[in-house]
Amino acid sequence: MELRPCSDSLLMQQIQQGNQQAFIALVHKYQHPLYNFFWFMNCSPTESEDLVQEVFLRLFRCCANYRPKAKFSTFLYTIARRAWIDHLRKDQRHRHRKLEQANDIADPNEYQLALENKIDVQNALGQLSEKLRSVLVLAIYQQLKYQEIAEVLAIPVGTVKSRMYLALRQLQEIFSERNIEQTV
Amino acid sequence: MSEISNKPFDALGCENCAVTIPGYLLGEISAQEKRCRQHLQKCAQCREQMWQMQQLIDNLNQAEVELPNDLTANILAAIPKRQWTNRKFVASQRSWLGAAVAVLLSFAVLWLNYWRQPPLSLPPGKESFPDNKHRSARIIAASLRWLATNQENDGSWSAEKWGGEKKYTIALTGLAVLVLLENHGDAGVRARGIDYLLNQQSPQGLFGSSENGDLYNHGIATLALLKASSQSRSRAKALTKPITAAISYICSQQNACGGWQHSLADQSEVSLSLWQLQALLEAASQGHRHLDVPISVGLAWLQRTVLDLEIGLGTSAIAGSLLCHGNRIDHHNRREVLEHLKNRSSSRLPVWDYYHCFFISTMLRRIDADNNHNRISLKQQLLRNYIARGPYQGSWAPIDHWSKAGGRIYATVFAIRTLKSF
Repeated sequence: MELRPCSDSLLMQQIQQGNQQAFIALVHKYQHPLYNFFWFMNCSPTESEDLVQEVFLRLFRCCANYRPKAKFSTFLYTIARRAWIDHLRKDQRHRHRKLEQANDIADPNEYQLALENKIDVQNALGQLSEKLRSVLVLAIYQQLKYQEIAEVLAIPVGTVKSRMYLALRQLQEIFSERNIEQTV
Repeated sequence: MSEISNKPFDALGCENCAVTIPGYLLGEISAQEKRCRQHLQKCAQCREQMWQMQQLIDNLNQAEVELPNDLTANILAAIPKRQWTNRKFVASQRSWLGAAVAVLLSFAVLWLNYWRQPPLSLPPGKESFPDNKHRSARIIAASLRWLATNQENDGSWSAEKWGGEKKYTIALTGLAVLVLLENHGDAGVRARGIDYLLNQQSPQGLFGSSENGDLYNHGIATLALLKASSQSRSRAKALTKPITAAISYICSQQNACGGWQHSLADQSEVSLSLWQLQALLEAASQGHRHLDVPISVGLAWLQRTVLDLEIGLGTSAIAGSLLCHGNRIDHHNRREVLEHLKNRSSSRLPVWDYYHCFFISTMLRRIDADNNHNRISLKQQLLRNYIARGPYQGSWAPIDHWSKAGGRIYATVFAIRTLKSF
């Protein structure tokens, strides 16, 4: 059992009472996972940044509605997913942004190898259907349990399980095809 | 489940297991995952699939992206401060009395906030979440448990079983013993590991074979036994003879220039020599005699080979060399070398490297204990490789260059040692 100085639910209660420091603590804890979530959902760095801001803004606005029945991360990623869907509706040009992403990252010489790997993974994830990608990103990068993913995506746990399996199998195929291409 | 019903599977009877493997690897603990575990013990084909999926998950985890520097400030700036004071967070009050109490409390909270709370922006250098030492301690404990659980019956830690090369089993066992000693791990596990090492020593004092695993096995095993000897008086007597023989062997293998080399190599090699020198230095600190000459010759060689060169310096080689020199270093370009180390460690590693991370974090702690910024950055990178759930829980992902030789045992040992150094 992980010891935490302050649980997320308690922080939310403090935010409801107007405690700004509690909000800052939540921002510190979840900004990076959220940024990764949007990045691997195929958003550019700029879009990911905007969407993280949007999620925290929505969290701030609706924090009075939060009741600690469900786990906080489930509540947060439900907001994140809605923000992402809204973003997709607004901007249909979200696919295939490899060049833009590469240009968005500072100091390409320093991080070239790591960056190539990240863009490679992001592009591979981009080849998955959105259904499979959502499950995989929530499971791997957000470390949500199957039950929590089922709640965020409003699908049965069995579907989460099968989508997760399919996502990994498809990724294996994508990466092995690339390796063959590189070898040839 | 309907989405997978039409897909072909590798083998009859493995269908349910295949779908359950990702959940099993991610630490899901339903009845199906438990049945999957039983199936995996019997089915080599599914085990192979599990290895491949774990490898894929490890690689996916590696691709985690860095946070933009100013994101926190931008998020906080998106919420104007006045919204905190104007906002009604609590649901509507049902009674006049309740409303009155709420108003009074709100004033009290606002008043307290006004006087006590700093502005929403954070001071420079405080952007990262506070370091959690309890979390590190829990991760180290879990990693030590993983090592203890995966010790072989003969007391060794198998290199081959965990993705490494068989010839390094002695070195990996030495490293595991070393890290268990440094962290007061299970005494029984440590004792079995030490017994295994002693059983591998030849009459000439060499651990393993001169052609198999080279001096890596020998230097690391010697260092582990020296640490064991320093920690247990009861064991020290029994270890004196094998340690003396091992040290003599190290001295006998030192080249005239001061370094050590692989059996088939034609010149001394820095990383290999660092382990022999560490063993000699530890032995000297424990009162073993006649080591002044081999140590001083070895350190002089390191200084000439590593510290004098300014182009193409390997950071871990420099850090390791400086660690061996300790307080003795008195070098004309010491300042430049230290600056170089700090600069190299201040940026994110382009490719992850446990070996590099250990030496650099240990060195940074010594040379710049007050400046935590670089070490926090390294720690954040390190922690991404920790397996927090699933069957490999407690171990560390073997994803760097050296993992091809040392596998998961190497990754876990160096991760523990590095985490301890923060």
